[in-house]
Amino acid sequence: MNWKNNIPLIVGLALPVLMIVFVAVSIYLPQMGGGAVPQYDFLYMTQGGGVNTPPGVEKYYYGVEGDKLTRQEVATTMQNPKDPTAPTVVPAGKPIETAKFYIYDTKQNTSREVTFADAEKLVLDSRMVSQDSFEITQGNNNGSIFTEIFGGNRDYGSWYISGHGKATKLILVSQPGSYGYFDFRFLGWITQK
Amino acid sequence: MEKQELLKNIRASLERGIITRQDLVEMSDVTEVAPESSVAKRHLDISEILYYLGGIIVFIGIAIFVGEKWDTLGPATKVLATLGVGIAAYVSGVLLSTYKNLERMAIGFHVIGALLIPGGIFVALDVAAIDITLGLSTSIFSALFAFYVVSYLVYKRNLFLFLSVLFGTISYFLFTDYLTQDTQTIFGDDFSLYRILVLGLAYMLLGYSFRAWERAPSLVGIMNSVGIISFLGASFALGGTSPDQNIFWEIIFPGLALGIIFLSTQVKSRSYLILGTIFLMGYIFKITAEYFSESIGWPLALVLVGFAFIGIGYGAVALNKKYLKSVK
Repeated sequence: MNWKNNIPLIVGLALPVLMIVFVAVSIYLPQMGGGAVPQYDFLYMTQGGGVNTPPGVEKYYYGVEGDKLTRQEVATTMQNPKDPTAPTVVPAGKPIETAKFYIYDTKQNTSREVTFADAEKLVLDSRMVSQDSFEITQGNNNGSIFTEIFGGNRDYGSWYISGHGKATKLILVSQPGSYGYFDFRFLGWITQK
Repeated sequence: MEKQELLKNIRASLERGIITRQDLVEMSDVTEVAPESSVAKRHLDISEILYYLGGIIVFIGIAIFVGEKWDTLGPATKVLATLGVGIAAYVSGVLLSTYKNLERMAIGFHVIGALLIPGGIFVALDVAAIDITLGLSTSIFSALFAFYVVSYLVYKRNLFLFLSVLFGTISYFLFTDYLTQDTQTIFGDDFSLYRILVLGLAYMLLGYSFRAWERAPSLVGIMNSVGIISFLGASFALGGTSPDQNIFWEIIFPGLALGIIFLSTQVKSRSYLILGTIFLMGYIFKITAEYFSESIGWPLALVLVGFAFIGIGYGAVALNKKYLKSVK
């Protein structure tokens, strides 16, 4: 075979192979070398919101103030929509509490449910990037049409903990019937338990 | 009379073997020499098309027939009706190829095989209750790619080359999906675009190398067009839009488009010229809309774009006349 005349053919065949090798190396090399491991677990919550959620209005709104988890009671009454100028109010809906809290163990990649009472004792850092430079990012659709047709899961809507050149998919708990990635709310990195 | 004398001398030199047809081609800088039996070749091309169509129609008929009876068929019958028929069609095609006068008819059978074998494999896995994971799909299509590469090397059929490229492309996407299914790459959200960019470049290089293959010129146009659209399309998309634009790709893109246009004169391909021109026009429109429409207003921006299009169009036609008029 005359190699010189076939350089375009060789390069054309080699390019996709090199791309595959490059992707594999960029993913597995940081993992093989050990690399940085997240030092902080994080707290997250789910609130359902899908078909299995009972009708009503959430009783509490949750947030992080300073470094503590807090909650505020949500008004469950509203101005009468039939007579906006009237002083009377009507119930906005039946108060419901669907929130669930989980501590995500970043070393084991597992979630553990905790009560609000336990969660509010934690010291949290609510910034998206932790003190050891890891952050929670949303997945993108790296799958192609071929993944859809020939098996494999669509990645869109997954969450990852990424940093130091690698990203690991989070195995989260979501409430039955919820809308997948909508049912995840990062609250903060746990700096002190 | 001088011209007649000259032609007579050339004809005599050709007959005596002093010069060859290849010498005449090189002298005239023409990339293709029209074969003497061009009319006959056209007829053969039409028959090839009919063989391809026949194979596709047979496949559709089988698919509908089996699909209607699917629930009543036993597991073995399901596999036989799909994978079995596919393999039988492939073998029939191979056997027909051994007869000179039936060689072209084999195309129809190979088309049936190519359409049924992949589906038949998945039917067999489904019947065997084997979970079809991404890794398994990747392995199957890689095996099909290898199978058709070997088929091409043995039987030298354009259809096998086309199928090799097709299954190779599917394997490439599935393999990279498999590698990244539980993680993210350094390319981030643009990973798919980078994959398409690399694939487009590979297609262009393969299209260029296929030009020299006696049996593969029909694939050259497809490879060039798909390759350029993928390469320039991905580069264009990587540029993004304001305020999230990627400055590197926005700056480099016109160079890539102009490079493709320049390459049309080197590889003597009209696809390069036309597609490069279209993408360059698209880029000018995008940049004008992104950066100038608010400062100078849409009407003036459109005027600028219009003049730019006229200039680019004139350049493209001039290039075509000067370098590509001999290309079919």
